[in-house]
Amino acid sequence: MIRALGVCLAFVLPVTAQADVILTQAEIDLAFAHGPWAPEIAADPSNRVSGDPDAIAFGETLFHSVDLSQDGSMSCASCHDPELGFSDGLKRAVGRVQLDRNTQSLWNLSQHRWFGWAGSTDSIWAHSIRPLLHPDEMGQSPQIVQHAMTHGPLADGYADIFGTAKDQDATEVLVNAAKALAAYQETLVTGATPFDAFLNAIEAKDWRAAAQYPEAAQRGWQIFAGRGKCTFCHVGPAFTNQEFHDAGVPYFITDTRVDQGRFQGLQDVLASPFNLAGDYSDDPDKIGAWAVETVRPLHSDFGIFRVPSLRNVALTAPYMHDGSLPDLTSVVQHYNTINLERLHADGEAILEPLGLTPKEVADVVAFLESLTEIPD
Amino acid sequence: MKQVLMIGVAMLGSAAVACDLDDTAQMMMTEDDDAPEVYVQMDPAPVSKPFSVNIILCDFVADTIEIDAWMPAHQHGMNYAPRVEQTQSGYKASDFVFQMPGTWQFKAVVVKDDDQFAYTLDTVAK
Repeated sequence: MIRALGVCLAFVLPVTAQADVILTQAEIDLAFAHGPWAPEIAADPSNRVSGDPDAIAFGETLFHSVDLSQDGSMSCASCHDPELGFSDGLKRAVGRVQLDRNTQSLWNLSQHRWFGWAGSTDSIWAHSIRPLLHPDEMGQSPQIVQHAMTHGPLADGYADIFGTAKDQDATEVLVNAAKALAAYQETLVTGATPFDAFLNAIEAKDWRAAAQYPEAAQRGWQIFAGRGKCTFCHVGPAFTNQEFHDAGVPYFITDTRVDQGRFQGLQDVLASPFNLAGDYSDDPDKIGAWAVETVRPLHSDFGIFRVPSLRNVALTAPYMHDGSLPDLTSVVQHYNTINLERLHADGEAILEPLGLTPKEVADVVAFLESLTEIPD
Repeated sequence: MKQVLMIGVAMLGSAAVACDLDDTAQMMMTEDDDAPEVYVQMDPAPVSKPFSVNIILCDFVADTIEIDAWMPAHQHGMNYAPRVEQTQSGYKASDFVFQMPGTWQFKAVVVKDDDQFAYTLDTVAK
């Protein structure tokens, strides 16, 4: 490919553009493993209203409704604000009290296998139940959700899709509401980014368009996929391997309290009646249950967290599970100078200080910023 | 939890099958004397997506087969335990997930009577 690229550039493009694509063929091949975008979103077989337009519309209504909180003070959108990348811009989320973790964005959820920083659920709908019931978040009970779906402004929308709530078991109503919320959240897919435009241009052999991708971002990609080893975890079109790793971020919430991360999350999902092996899944074949049925509890689960997608990452500061890093430069610097004493995974030998110069750090940041969608 | 402990092990009992291999078949390596030939048939391994492989034992009946995989360079294994089931042409091991790109190594143990044979096979996920 690179030889062909050179020939084309030499005969078609002005000299200035020729110098603008600096990647080797191997680096371009690696980049193609992160596309194309956006992937086709298949309906979730565990959710019978997945992809249903009426359920999507009702789910969006629920997402913005304060009637789902105990005291009518907050909605899903209070923390997952569409204007803030479906996050909140805060270091740590604030529900009824300040919570222990940073609010994750809700984009591209269909690309994930586990949900939340600790993977405490294995479907979007099950993860939508969690904040509804958590006493520190929306503080609901199934009965109060049922009441909200029986009386008031949400009742008709619920009944049109699921039937009359008052005739149903309260937990069933809760799950149905969560499945409508999930149907809506599945539609939150990020758009094309400058990185995607670069790959598309190369695939189309449009070298002039490819040369529009900033050289700083290309240098950043070289580090990201090369000595940075970032693609070991941030892999594939969504830039996440969907799994859990130790990023060297402290897991002490206070001097005396720790965030157990995946260790607790795995216990939660295995015990949950709402996991994909359970009766609340609508899939008679339980296709998605393989993960919860075969996942291995590991010593190294303690204090590790899910690898986030990097799509639209520039819009979701601050970063890491505890929101401790305020911007992308500090994230790259974290890995650049990572403290190996903080890594506790069982012998996993991947991360090491990178020794990047300030210019190289800026290049990686330029690459990360190029993963954020191009505004309409 | 008992379910997890049983994963990756197939209790076998049927007659030996002929060695019916396709173009993807790769022979697993072993250092054990008199070890029967074991082949893995698979498409290229994806990264962080579940996949399955077929295991073919040539003219040999095993009591059990265990198979797993790890990443030697990183010193870690998989986050999931593969499940093995008997098929008409051999055995199918499902729910492999290679969570990182790079070289992985399958590790299999075949047991017959009092004999135990260990095998490995390297493959690249990308």
